[in-house]
Amino acid sequence: MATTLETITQVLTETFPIDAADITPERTFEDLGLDSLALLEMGLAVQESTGITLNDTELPKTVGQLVTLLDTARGDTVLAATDNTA
Amino acid sequence: MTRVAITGLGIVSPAGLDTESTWQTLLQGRSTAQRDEQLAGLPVDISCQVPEFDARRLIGASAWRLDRFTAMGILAAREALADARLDPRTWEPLRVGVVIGSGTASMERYDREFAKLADDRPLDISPLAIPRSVPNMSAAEIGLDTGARGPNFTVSTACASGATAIGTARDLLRAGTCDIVLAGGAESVRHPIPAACFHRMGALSQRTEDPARASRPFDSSRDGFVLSEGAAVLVLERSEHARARGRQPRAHLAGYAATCDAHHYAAPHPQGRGAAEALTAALADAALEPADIGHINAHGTATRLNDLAEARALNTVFATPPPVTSIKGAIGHAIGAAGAIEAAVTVLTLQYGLIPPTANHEDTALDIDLDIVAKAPRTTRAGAAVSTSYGFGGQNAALVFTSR
Repeated sequence: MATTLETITQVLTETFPIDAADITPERTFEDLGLDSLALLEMGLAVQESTGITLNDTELPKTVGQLVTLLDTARGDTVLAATDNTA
Repeated sequence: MTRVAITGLGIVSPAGLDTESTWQTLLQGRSTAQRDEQLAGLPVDISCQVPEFDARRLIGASAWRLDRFTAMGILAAREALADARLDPRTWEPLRVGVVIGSGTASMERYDREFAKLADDRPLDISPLAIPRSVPNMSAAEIGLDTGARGPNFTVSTACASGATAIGTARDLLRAGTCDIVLAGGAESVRHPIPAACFHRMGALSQRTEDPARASRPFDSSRDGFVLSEGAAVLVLERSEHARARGRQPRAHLAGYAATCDAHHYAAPHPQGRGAAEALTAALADAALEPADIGHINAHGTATRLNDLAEARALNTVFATPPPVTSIKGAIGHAIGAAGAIEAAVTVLTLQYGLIPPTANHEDTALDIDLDIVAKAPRTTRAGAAVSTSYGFGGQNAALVFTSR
């Protein structure tokens, strides 16, 4: 299974003119050339790819923050699923 | 009066991604129509498609936010600038305008966004849905791409949009507002809604079993047009401005006129009244007589009504109309881009002395009294030629080009 960073890298390189080599956890999306509208568009692309909805008002600033956010959301989903089966 | 030079051309069409490849395909008189997967399941599922249009490869960094018609416009504008040897780093940006014609803008975008609404997901609507799709962006994105900062707008006169844009650009030069205007059209209408609509109107050829033989301008067996897409941009420049930087024009835009039929919302006036009036006024504007015109690059959609009305208009204005061609036999009808592509091809005809044949034209209809160039290119020594465009709503435009 792809890591979260790999998933994000795929979404970013498929949607935007960004090279995979430039995508590291510490890079900000602004550094990668995404303005505020592009960032919203990125949120939609991530949602389409992962099924996880990002809150428009709390979009992360760096790639690493996005990884954490998605991992947390996935963890919550897993926990919720576990709760349901418990 | 300000003379207007054509110093650069850029074409993106089903016949090729640039001017030279388009011209060579047109000279072969070969149709580019084929089955279109985007129209699968519709009664008419054929179109002319720009081949291998990969915006990311062709346009680069901005491609992600461009809808197809806008990206095609940018590619045509870049070619036109290079052809004119214009360097945006050295021009006076406020003296450079952009006028682009678009008939429908980007229906593909609304498709995707409406699907989200239907799925009750309004918050998933792309924040770029409007900036990507609205008609003015075909001009705005060219401004952004080239740094042209003068007047910048889109005109919309349906199938005449590209020609209207070129005429309007001419007015900006004549008025002294600009030294250079990038003018043309951009359109991609390979979408089920226009395809179904035009079919319901009876405007599309129904020869879906033989796409390459579907579009037959001025032919006795014509039954409608084939949907298409593309873009063309012409660099219009004040003659003195071109001379000052040592550029030899490809041709001149000597006259332009626009009229409205005020007759019907979709059908042309049966006698081609408005079309004839546009032709007459454009000739007067160019200070030329009908006998001075050596070639007509016709609107020639291949619908029953257009081609007949157009023939009548030409016979009203010309005692004996000069040789006529319609490139829609080869590349279909690109709606808002058609007039611009045809204007560019008219310039090439004057420059190279060759009239491309009307693809699929076998037998001129009995009620059409025109000399249609068919089968093979015809040489011409024409020093002046006209490109005509007629839009739904009765909006007509005629452009008169001269070689000197």
